[in-house]
This record gives sequence, structure tokens and C-alpha cells, in this order.
Amino acid sequence: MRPQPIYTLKTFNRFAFLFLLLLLRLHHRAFFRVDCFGMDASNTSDAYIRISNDVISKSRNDLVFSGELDESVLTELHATWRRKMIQAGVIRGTIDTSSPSFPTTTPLMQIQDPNPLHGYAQNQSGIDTDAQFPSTELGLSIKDESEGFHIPQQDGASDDIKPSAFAPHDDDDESLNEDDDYEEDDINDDEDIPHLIMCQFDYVKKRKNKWECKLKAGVMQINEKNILFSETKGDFTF
Amino acid sequence: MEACRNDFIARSYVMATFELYRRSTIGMCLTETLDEMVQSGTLSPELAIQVLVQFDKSMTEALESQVKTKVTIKGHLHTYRFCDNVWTFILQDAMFKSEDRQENVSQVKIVACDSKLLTQ
Repeated sequence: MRPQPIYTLKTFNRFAFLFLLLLLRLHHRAFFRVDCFGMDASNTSDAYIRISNDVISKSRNDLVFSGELDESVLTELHATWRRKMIQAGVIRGTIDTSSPSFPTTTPLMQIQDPNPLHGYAQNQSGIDTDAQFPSTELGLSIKDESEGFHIPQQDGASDDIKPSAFAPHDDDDESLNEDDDYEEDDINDDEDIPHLIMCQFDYVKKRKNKWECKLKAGVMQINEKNILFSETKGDFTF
Repeated sequence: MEACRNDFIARSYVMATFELYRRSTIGMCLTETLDEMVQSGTLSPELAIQVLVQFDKSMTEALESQVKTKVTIKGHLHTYRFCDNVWTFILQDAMFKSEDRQENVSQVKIVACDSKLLTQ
């Protein structure tokens, strides 16, 4: 009697079915499509993963070892942060949850969301360096002291001059204040711009309407991509 | 404004940091995560701020020393502003070129802090 062959069409179909099922499950779990990664995206993904690992390990050194923070909380923080970055499409990875995770179609639109932290992360404009230049009140105090002096007049009758206001009243003052208000419509209406670059500048200079700048250490979020750069030369025409 | 100034004074004794990178996707993901954990009581706001400050440092350091990409930008400058040592530009019809690729955008906003502030 001929031995039954192990690999029959039925078995093949079963394996093919199981293989397809596995692919479908992977599609749900691994939300990241490799074909959308160019060189930049791959570099960005690696950089972001390194940065998040660095933040977590330094926080561990500072906060967990000192007893201020529990390791389990830090682990949860890391996992949630990572999951959100995968969902946003900025890093590669798989999300280990039982429920399927679907990619957002426009992940970079997240930057349009208002900052959820109201109390402690609102300063978006960098460092306020007014602190370096405290206002000097020395001039005013000297003036105050001198007003107490009385110099006897020897050269004739004293002039009956009422002490005038520090600055003569000018009828144009009010209208001047009104004109001082600059309507920054263009800047304030730019919240709709989906493309944003955050960086530092080494210098910005202009000659007539030609602007030149040297920028560095930047994150470009343009065309639904995250591109990092170390240096940029900018040439703008105003 | 006063709170920001005091915050800067306090931090300037340790190390100046730029908060602008918190607006990036990685930064927003972190702030969302921290916000959720603070809301649920898992994390105190003080610790959340410390993590954010660490993020500022790690992000800045990575961009300055680990990233090697160079880019050129050309475009029409629509608006500019310089305030609190921060330049804000709005470019139109901008072109970004790196070694291996080019991107074009109709409008982009650039926010740039003074790099010299970090070397103090």
C-alpha cells in the first residue's frame, strides 16, 4: 500500500491559511510600515529611541535611586511614551497590546493639539533673558535725593516757578499710544501652518531684502515627516 | 512673564535649557504621557517637570552631537519677528535640500533660539 504523502494540497492550504492569518495579526500589531521609511525617517527613529532611552536612564539615576520615583512608574512612563511615538509614526516598533492599534493618517497633525499641560510646560519661546539685565533704579534714587536740596538764591528775586510735571503734558500722548499697538496678525494667525521647524540660530543677518542665517540642532516637521539636522544654511528673500 | 523669569533664574544656576523642542512630536508624546500620569495621580507635577527638563537636555545634546545631517533652506520670507532672543520666520514656497533628498513646502514656520545662550 502506498504510504500517504505528508504534504497534501489540504495541508498546504491549511498552512497558507495560517500564514495569512499571521500576516494579518502582524499588520495590526506592528503598525509601522517599513516602506514609508526613508533614510531620514530611519535616522529620526533611531535618534528618538536613543533620546527617550537617555531621558529614562538619566531620570532613573536622578529620581529612582534617590527614592523620589518608583521604578515601576518610570517603566510605565517609558512604555507609554514609546507607544505614543509608535502611534504617531515617528519611531519603529511594535505595540504589545491585545487590541489592534491603527496608525493615524496624519501623525504630525499632533503638533496642532493644544498643549495639554496647563501648569508647567507653557513656556514655548525659550529662555527669557530679561533676568540678565535687571533694571537699574540707581538713576531714580539719585534724583529723589537731589530733590530734597534747597540752594539759596543770591542773584535776584526767586522765580515763582511751580514744580512742573516730570514730562510736559502732550496732547499727542494718547494717540501715540494707540498707534504703538502693532497688529501682529501674520504671526498670530500662523497656528494653522502644519509645517514647523524648531532649532537654534548661530546668526541671522540681512542685506536689503536678502536674509542669511545659520541654524543648527533642528527638528523639521514638514510634509508629515520628522527630519533632524545638525546644521542649516538659510537664504531667504523678503 | 515673572514666573518664566524666576524659572530661568532658578535653572540658570544649573544649566540653561531650551523648551522649544517640547513642541516636536517626541516632545508632545512625552508631555501627553506625563500629563496622563499626573492626572491619574501616578506622578507628581514636580517629578514630571524634572523629566521634561531632562528631555530638554537630552534632546538638545542629541541634536548637537549625534545628528550629522546638513540641510539648506531657501524660500520667500513672508514674516519675521525677533523677541526674547527668539527668531520666528514664516517662509513661503520653501525648499529644503539635504544630501539625498529635497522637500518643498508652501508655508513653514521656523522658531529658532539663540545658540549662544546654552554656552553660558
